[in-house]
Amino acid sequence: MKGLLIKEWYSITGMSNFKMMLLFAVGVLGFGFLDNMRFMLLLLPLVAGIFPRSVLSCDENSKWQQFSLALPYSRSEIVSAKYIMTLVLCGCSALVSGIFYTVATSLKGDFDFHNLAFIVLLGLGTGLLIPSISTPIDLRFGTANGKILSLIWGGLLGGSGGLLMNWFGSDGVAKTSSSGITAYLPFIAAGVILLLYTFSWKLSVKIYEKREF
Amino acid sequence: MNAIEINELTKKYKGFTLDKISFTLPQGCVLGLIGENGAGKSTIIKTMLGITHSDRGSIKVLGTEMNGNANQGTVKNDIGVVLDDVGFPSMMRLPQIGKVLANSYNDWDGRLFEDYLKRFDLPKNKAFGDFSKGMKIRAGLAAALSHNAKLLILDEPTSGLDPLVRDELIDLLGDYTRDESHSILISSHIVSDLEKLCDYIAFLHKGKLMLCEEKDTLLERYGLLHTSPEKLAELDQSAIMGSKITNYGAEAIVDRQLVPSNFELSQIGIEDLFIFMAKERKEAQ
Repeated sequence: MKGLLIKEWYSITGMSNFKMMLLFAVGVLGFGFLDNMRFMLLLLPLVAGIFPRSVLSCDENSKWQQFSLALPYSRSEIVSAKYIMTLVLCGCSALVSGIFYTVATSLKGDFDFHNLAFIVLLGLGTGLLIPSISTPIDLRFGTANGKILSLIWGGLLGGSGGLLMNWFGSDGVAKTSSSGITAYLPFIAAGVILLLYTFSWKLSVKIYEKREF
Repeated sequence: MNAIEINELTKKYKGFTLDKISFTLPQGCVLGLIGENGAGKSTIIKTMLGITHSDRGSIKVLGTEMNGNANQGTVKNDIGVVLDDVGFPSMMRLPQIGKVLANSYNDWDGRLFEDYLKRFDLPKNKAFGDFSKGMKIRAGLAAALSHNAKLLILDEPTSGLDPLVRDELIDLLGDYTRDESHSILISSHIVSDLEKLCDYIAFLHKGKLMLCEEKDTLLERYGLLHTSPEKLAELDQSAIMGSKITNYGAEAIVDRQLVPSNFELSQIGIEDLFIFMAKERKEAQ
């Protein structure tokens, strides 16, 4: 599995140099605009969640999907490597968002640990939501046939972005209290998305076991 | 032990059926799969490797049953594969590909891979997607030969290559088979390449296996007959594997044992044999 993980890493860093640079630039810019952190905090995990689809599309074009089946791996391992790398990528992005939040709010003097936990969890959930839905569909039908899916994506992106934008105030902190049911909503949301991700992973393995190239 | 044993392999697609293919490749030998484009060569190879699932039949590679075997990963350590499009990620460079493969195969030899890259004059700082077809094939071969594989499976490795590179490739594969435990299954529609290299020849036409025999046996058994259409008609029809009648006379591939000694036969090539047999099959259909 190690070889597959290394391949996924090279694929992401190799094909997405430009996007990575862009992300970095946006991150730095966002860091500069401490009064409006919402965009930056959401962008990182959202974009991280899109990378795996780009890699899958590239795998199809280069016929890696066929060659990888000639390597000493099971189909389950090939799919799992993608899910593990997506999890790592989205997890890291959520952490980076958390670090940005910590630094920015510490400088302003209004750091709140409760909000930090929300940002990291919501970041992770936001990042994983799109690959949870798109990966099984892409593995079944191919990324080229996913035009309808792109529309669903757009809706999801807009919807989740809007929801989260609404969640945060203009000062960049969550509009939640540390008591009552609302305090647990991000945890519940992240938990539900993690469950969805696990289900998606298992479904993708089943789909890939039957896939022919 | 046989390197490959395929029995009654069947795979149906819309408009194409790979029909009950059976053949064996003894260890230490080279088998060439010859067939026109779309004959089913790649389907056989993909089914052997589990890239495509078969509908029926059994496939044993290096003694391991491949069909429906979830643990075929172990035997794949001993198989070097070069597919038609090679399949390395287009954005990756060869040292990166080497690192991926080093962490995939149990017996990866990094130094050998480096040697092949130098020998094949392949650039290390260029993305694989920017390679020419010939460079891609050479990179695929370098990888396939760098993990002490006992069996090479090569799908159309010579197509799209210039004659010089093709010749170099054939020499390289010849070197590989000097080790008696090494076997090769190679598919191509460029018959002359396979004629130089192969011990066994399998003809595939429209999803059906027309024959699979030792190359020397084929060349000894069959001969090319130039005669008149009338004389050809007098022959035992079972002796004729394929024929062509033109304004200038008749040409036929015949079984030497079934032709009277007064007929003068010339030596055939594998390509002639394949073309005549395929045409005969086409006309019969």
